[in-house]
Amino acid sequence: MPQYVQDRLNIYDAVLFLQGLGNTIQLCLGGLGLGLVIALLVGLARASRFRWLSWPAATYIEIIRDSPLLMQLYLVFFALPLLGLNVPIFVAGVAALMLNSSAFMAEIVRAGIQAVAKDQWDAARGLGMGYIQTMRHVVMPQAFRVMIPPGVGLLIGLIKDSSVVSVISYLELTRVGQILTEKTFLSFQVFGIVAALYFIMCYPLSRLALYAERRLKVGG
Amino acid sequence: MHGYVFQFGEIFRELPMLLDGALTTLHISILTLLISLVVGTLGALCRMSRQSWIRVPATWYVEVIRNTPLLVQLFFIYFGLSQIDIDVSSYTAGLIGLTVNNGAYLTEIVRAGIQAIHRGQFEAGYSLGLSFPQLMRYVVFPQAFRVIYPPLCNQLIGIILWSSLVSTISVQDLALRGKELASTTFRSFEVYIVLTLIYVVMTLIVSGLLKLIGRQLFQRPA
Repeated sequence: MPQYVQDRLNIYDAVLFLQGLGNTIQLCLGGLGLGLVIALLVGLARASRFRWLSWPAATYIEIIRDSPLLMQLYLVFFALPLLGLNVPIFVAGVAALMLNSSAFMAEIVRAGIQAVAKDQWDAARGLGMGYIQTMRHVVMPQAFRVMIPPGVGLLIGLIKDSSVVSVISYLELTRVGQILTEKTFLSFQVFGIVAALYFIMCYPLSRLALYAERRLKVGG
Repeated sequence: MHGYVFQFGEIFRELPMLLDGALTTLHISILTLLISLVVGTLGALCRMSRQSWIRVPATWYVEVIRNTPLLVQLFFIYFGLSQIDIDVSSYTAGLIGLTVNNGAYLTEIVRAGIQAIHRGQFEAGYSLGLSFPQLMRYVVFPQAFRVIYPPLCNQLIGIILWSSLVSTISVQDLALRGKELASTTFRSFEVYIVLTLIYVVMTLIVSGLLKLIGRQLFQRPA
């Protein structure tokens, strides 16, 4: 083996791992936060009685759910410059995760809204509340409970999905793994550590989702 | 967007090449589903075993796979195998990666299917003198299959979409063919619009076919 090949991991690599971890978390928080806003709008539109609202929302959800995240990422990545936006790859990554997760979240929002009994609507309307008031004070607080377990599941998915952003060379955890593999050829060790870091983030969340599901089942 | 002229001509000329990639995608997806069905069935049986040395490893297999990204698993297998000088084609590595990944999800699906079967069925089978394999083969699996068919269909759709990640380890699937076309035509945006549409159409056709097959298989209401 030639001298210049680094044959084990050192402290600088550890720093790189942590940097990747931090960037992965930033991607996920960005994607989740913005995705949630779009999901609320699309979810409300999807649950609407008006076809001109529900139909476009349904189409949006269907297209996102029936195409790979990788394609959505490339589309966003190449579309942004065409729109005259010269943005860092981080923004492209967040935008792709936002679009992708919003479609799945919108379905969770819709299921949550539709899980609230119709009497609640009628009662609120009978009290003279408007659509927004009913949503805000009656439906959403109840729907929110139903949305928690699938919501946590979605967050786990988002953390795992964010690994795909490595293909546009954003320095998140998986990209760090690729770089260190090219540098050291220690694929098992490097991707073992990368996998362990993802596991540490996701496993507690999946326990939480399970716990929430059980709690809510008892509560009705 | 003003000033940008869409050009799809070159892409449509290369459509046969893309569809060839789509065939590879379908091919690897269906193989993955079939092999991971076997893995999932074994996994489910292990996961329900009373022996803890069988049950615990199976549980950890499921937990580790479900809580780490597919892409990392693919890299782990593809680059890992080459690290220990095992030479496999990227197709084989992709197939192994997808199968290991989906085996974990199918373990849970099959387990749920088996657990959905009423206790009385097991007791009746045993009292008729059936051995465990016989019980599984003639009583449990035929009924469980009906339960797991819908989630199995969803899983196949998921595999088709997520198999696009094997393009990163240079399997010549639809996504990689598209990427190559994008780099030769410099029409990335158009290429990925067409690619996304091909994936959507493929998914819709496959899920439609699976619904038809399901109706044929389970004539009686489930």
